[in-house]
Amino acid sequence: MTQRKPENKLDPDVQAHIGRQLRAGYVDILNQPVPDRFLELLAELDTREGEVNQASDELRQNGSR
Amino acid sequence: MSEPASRAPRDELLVHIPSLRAFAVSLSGQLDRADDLVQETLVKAWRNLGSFTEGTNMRAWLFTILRNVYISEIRRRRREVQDTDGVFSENVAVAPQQNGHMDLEDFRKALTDLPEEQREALILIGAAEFSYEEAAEISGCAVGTVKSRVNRARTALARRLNLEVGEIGIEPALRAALGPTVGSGTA
Repeated sequence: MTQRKPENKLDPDVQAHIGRQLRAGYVDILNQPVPDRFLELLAELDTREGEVNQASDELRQNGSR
Repeated sequence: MSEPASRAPRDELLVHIPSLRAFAVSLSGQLDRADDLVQETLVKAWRNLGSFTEGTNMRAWLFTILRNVYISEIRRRRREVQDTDGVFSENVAVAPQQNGHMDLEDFRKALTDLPEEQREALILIGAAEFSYEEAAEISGCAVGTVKSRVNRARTALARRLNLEVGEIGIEPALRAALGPTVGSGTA
């Protein structure tokens, strides 16, 4: 990476500090287990897809005339 | 049920939920709202799995969807709330921290008050650790635009949190608290 400073001069310590704060909040959520609502959602989407596939298969069969 | 050729989409999406949540929380600043964003993202992603090119970066693809969901939600809100001026000026009018003490809560608040596109760019680069090219693709803008948004975001945060050195110089105590520039910040 080029280390040319843009128009603003941010102290590298300051920049590193901002980076750490930013990352800390992010990682905090990143490390949380996946909430049940999303497991349920994916399961539901999976089931629904099965139904949709079935429906579109029927459609295709009926539609071929 | 037919056997999927590769990993089932359900498992594929599952892997990315933690980073989608982290992104959504960072963007919206609210856990509840963030999880609603993730939910909508997953539903959209599921419907559009066909348009995802296998072998490409699924995390970036999902982040793009979430970002777009978030942006359209903001636009909808702005339309619904006529008096947006009041809302935004309220954000801007927050007094800067005077004591130089910044904890994560101050930081979160400052992050929330950044303009949307600056916050987005900073999170993509500084937290989600995408490349500038990937971030540009996710945000639908030029690489140079991402760079300047990140710079502006950092400068604004530094100013807001009284971190800016400029002519004043940073207090020795604060500098010590920040730790070495390079190296792991063992807090």
